[in-house]
Amino acid sequence: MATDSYWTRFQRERISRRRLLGAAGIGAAGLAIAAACGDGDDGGVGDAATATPGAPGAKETPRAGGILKLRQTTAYPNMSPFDPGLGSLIQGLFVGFTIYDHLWYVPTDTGEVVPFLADDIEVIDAQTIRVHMGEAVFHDLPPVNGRDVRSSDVKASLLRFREVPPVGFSWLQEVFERMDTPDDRTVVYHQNRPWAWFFTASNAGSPLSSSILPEEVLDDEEIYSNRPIGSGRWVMTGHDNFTNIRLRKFENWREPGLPLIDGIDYSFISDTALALAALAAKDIDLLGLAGFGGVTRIEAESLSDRFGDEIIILSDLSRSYRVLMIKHEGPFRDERVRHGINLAINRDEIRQALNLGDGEFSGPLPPAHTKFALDESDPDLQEYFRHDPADARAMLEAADFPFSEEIEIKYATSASGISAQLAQVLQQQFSAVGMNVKVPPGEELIRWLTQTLAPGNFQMTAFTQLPYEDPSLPLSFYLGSEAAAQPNFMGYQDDEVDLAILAAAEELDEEQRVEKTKEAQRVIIRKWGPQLTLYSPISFGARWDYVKGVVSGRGSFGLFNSRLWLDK
Amino acid sequence: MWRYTLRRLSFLPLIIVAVSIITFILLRVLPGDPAAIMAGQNASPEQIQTIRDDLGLEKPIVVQFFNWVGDLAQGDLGHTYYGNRDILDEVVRRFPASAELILLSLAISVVVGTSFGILSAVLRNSSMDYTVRLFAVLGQSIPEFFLLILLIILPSIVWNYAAPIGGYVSILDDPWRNLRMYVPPSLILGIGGAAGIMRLQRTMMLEVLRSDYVRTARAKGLTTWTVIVSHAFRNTLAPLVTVIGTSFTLIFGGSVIAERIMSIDGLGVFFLQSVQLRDFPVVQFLVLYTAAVVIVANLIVDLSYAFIDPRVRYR
Repeated sequence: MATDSYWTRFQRERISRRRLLGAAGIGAAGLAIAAACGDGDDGGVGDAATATPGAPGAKETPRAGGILKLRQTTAYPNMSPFDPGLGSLIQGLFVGFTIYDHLWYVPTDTGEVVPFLADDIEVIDAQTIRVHMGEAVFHDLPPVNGRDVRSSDVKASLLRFREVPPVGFSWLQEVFERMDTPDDRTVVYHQNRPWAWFFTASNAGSPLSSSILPEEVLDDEEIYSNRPIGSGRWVMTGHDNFTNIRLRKFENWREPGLPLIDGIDYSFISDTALALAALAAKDIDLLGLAGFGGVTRIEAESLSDRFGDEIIILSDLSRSYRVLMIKHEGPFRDERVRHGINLAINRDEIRQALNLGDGEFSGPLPPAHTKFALDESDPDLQEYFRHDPADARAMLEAADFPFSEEIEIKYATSASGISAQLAQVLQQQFSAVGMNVKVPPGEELIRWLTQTLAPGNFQMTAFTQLPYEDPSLPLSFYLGSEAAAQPNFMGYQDDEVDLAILAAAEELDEEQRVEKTKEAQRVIIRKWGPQLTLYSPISFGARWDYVKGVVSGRGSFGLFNSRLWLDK
Repeated sequence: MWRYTLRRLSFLPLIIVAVSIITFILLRVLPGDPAAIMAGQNASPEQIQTIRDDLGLEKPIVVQFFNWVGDLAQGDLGHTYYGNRDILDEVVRRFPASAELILLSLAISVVVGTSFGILSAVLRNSSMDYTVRLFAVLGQSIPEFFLLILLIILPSIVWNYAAPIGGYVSILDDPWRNLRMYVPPSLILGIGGAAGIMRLQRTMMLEVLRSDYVRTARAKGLTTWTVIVSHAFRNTLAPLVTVIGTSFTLIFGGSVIAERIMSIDGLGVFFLQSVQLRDFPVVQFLVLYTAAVVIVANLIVDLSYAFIDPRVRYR
């Protein structure tokens, strides 16, 4: 085989943790230098002092101890990862990143598997993956009492997650067939079809549905909802009705000596102004970890002005991206119309209006997916970003677009008002080419999700897509109802697009998959897929200089970081 | 007096029933199926139906209503849709935070409003008078949420100070932390109410100070303090108490904003979240609770007239 991908390596040579971590460390170093912030490491094993050559503070020796103080932005109803819909997503991710362990994780930047509990991963064939687990124990809490983590726990947890109604595409419901457990430390995944995205965070590597719970608590809602027991690096030791959560390090975690800090104290702060004040007063140590709960550029600059070198500003290109979604019906079924609408969009103007010029234009895959996104020099992407009102008008006229017909751009209201601004700027741009566009009053988020977006009850809707960790999910939004288990929100169906997306999903050779993913994006662009992607903003955060070993530029992988330490 | 009180209280159940019926119906008419919200946008119709059955939403609305009323009469407020938490426990846990915020705000608005209203009237057309009147206009004009944001930002910029964060701490456990957490937002909430009370108090005092009995009291040689407090101020109490009752209602509503901005885990924020998530049992109970509180507050105001003004007799 001409190329060496992790799929082929798994088949020929079983991958040890050390080798994969070396590859991840190199990727992390490149990103750390490019981002020029943070003392990144791979979040798994490795030494923060040496993992990222060239990064600030690389020669410092980490110290153990201390309690990290963070902001909790949401009041969780409980700790259950099995609540249906949005509930499981919100608190399930929190416990998934803290209390529960996983077999592996795939960071956004490298797309390479980083083993966690797994110490050997073997791809037997395109549908069968065998994973051997290392040694680990659960938290020493009743009724589990610190026993070993077994393969039956992994299987039982996976099957329990499969019972939960999915939020979006679900590998568990649509691709996963069964799991075998030939012994206490081995699990074998069986898929019902070749699926090359198997390892990623939207599939079998989900930080939510790959959480490992003890099998004896899976039917005990009182335990998993109120006092979760896992084998992760943190144990939940207290909370005020699931706000102000307190975590303490799990002393018997599978990596002795880690995490470096003794615990994390979360303080529930719903308002950003209060969060900034709390950071300034050192009531919290860091804002915007892994791009979540961050600040704006102006706020970051203000902090920098006030505190100088004591405050380190974090900045990452966000994995989220602004979009205009168009319902595939009426005049919008015509590709010329969608092309014309895209030509009418001035992405730079939108980026300037909403984010003061910060951010990068986005193709069908946002640019934060550095490995799989189209390069900005790609000719199709260049055409995608082209803004030409005269051409736009000509295109729409050629397609007999009904200029007198009133079109609505719906959006959900939010504290930031971003979607409202986006809709208004788009309205102005479309009006400039003669379209009759109206922006109705914003809808409450819950109403917009359930009454507008999900049932496709819109002509156009403007919003910010969530920061997905891997490429498969953004592409899946273009999959038609014949290829996906559920129709997309736009009611869009194109066989060529489906074939291109599925070709990438079934390509096991990594380099080929990268190319096919890029080709799928080009097909989506050429077909003017009705979700027009605009740009990805920059997310900003801030930390005090005594907070060291922070991982940035690696997506949510930074939330698994065990090597963060406090130099005070 | 007691007959009057009992007669007023006898209306309470009727009003509660009316409010509960209206709330019950309105919630079910509002767009947004709680089962669909909980299940997520990609849930199948069968999954949504399962949730609806679990929550009892498939039963006829009349049956749902009487089931809920029956449970309520037995003290069972039900469970939240999200997290399946006992509503009574949630209310009891959050009540102290909200109660302290509201009562402290009310106390501040009454004390500040009446004091400065009296001062402004007594020192009419002085610099103090103009200052107080300007403050009253500003207090009524500037939105509370803006003042609350300023309350956060200014101390942070000037002193690197932030209000304590974290859960509710009783004043008995840690008085200093408790006061740091609740006095500032209470001051802001109280300002709006104080401004209104201040202007009314000033107007009434000016009128009363011109009256014959006050002139007589001065002529008799009584001290200024006695004249103002025992004679003039007492005669402004009746309308003042009415305005205080109105202020209480406004502070009650304003506390939702304060709790949200100051991250206080009180009943106001609980109510707001529940409305957004269509958590029917929570919204139904809290609307009833609010209605009951407002009715009782107004009753207390009405009954207080008999104590303030000996000429008022209730039959």
